Amino acid sequence: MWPLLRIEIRKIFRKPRTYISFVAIAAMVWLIQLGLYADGESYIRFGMQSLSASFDLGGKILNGYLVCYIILQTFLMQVPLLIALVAGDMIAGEAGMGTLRLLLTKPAGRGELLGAKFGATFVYTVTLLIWMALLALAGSVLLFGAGDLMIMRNQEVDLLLSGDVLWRYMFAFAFAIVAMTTVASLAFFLSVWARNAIGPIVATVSIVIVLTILSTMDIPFFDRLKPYLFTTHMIGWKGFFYNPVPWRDIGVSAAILIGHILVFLGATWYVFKRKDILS
Amino acid sequence: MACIAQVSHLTKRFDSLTAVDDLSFSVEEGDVYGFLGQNGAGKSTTLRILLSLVRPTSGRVEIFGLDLARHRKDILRRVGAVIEQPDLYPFFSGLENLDIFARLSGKKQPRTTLLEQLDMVGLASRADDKVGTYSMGMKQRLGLAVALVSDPALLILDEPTNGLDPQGIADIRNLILHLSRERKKTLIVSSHLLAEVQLIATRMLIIDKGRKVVEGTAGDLLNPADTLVFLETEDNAAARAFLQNSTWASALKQGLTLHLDRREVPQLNADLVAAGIRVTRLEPRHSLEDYFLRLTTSAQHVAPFAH
Repeated sequence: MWPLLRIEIRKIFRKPRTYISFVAIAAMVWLIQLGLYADGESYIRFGMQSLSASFDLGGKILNGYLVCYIILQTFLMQVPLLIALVAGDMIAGEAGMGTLRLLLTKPAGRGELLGAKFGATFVYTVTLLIWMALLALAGSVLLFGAGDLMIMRNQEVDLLLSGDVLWRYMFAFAFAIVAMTTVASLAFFLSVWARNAIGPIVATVSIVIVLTILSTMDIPFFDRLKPYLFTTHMIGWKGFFYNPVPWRDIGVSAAILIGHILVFLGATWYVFKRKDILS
Repeated sequence: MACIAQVSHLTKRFDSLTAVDDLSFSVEEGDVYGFLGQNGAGKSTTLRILLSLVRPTSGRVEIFGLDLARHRKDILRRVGAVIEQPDLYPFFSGLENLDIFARLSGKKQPRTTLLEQLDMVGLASRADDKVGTYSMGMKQRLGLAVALVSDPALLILDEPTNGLDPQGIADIRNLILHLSRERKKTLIVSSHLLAEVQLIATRMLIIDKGRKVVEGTAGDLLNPADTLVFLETEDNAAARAFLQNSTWASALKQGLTLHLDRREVPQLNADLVAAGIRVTRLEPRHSLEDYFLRLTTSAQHVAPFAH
């Protein structure tokens, strides 16, 4: 299994398309940081205008922790696309290239190969999120400095003291790994059906967009659906910034996401084991 | 000779299409087994079943005496294959591709050994170049090196000369002969070109619409006693009248076609000339070749051989 995993990781990181994601994340993070660095105070004033009427807000609200939080919220749709870019390519890309049949003429089990491919996708997902954490959190703290984190939630404001923030980001990024692995497993499942990577990538992003709309729309008809949609639980990372942290809700969301991962992977395994390789 | 592969009553259906239809054959140790048929005859599907890429609808495949359905990994450890064009990773060098597939075969090898493998297929000088820069012929040769990297006992090559220029075809042919004669490999080589296969095969199988048409040793199937001679003269009617009243009458078929031993052709020519008949064309063609030619160029097939 380990040699297979190492080969799959080697393949991912030798493909030029892999680095599109890293460049895209860097570009987006730096753009937001640049914009906020240049005119962040206006942005904060606009965001806090409802509070400013009732409270006298002082101190350095625009700090690295807040910038990181803004970045994470903005990336809700972009990161799944970047994950799908690689995960959707894992099987369909090899089928399109014609290397899948060569791989399967070698004495590795289909299940082992699938495991190695998903393992490599997971490594890519974690690496991309660490890259994002480095740029968004470490970069923002370096650029804007640390400080207390003030977050508006509905009509409430959560104020987290500077020393109480970092661990929350660690947990939030860990949760994001679970959420993005769910997206990766969906793309992986769709990848097994196709002979061209574009199809699964577009299909994954489309599904995430549609389900996110359903998850966020306040229409009673969709309310019954929401608890079952993985997109509803993908934003569970925000819970780590509430006071007190809703550990149970976060645990339920994580369990539902892991359940989705297992279902998608199980379905992928079932299909791939029986698939005729005709490409 | 030990039986390397035994295929029994193999059938594969894709919805309403029957790609392989009750096909049985066996490959002996040391064979260069020519697998012939026109495009779409079911060759690739059969070879994919032998490699466990495609699941048969029914039938049984045994390789090295093991049931493929139950011993896939054990069998594939001893098999190398190139299926259609050898698509490899274009973003890796030839050497890296070889290294990856050696590891996948469970036989990680040092750079020097890998370079020797590349040298055998004439690619040592391009070992560190990305495969994306290789020509079709080079990719084909690298594909062969990949198939050979685990030193398999059985090689399955599906249309290994497809898309190659005449020199490339000759190179692959020589390599196959080298593998068979010097390295004692057993090979199954599919092609839609009889002329290509008859130069290398020790045994042959022709399939059409997924069914076996004829199987046997190349010697038997290409027996010189089984030759069709196509004749044209300046006066075909007179020539036919002469042949009907000569010792050649029993060999005479339709028009001016004769079925005889290839070694009799010079005598036939001499008799015609002696009778004052000026020959404009005298083309001996093996009847298998004629059959295969008709099979691959026409939808109307002649009656199969009685093998």
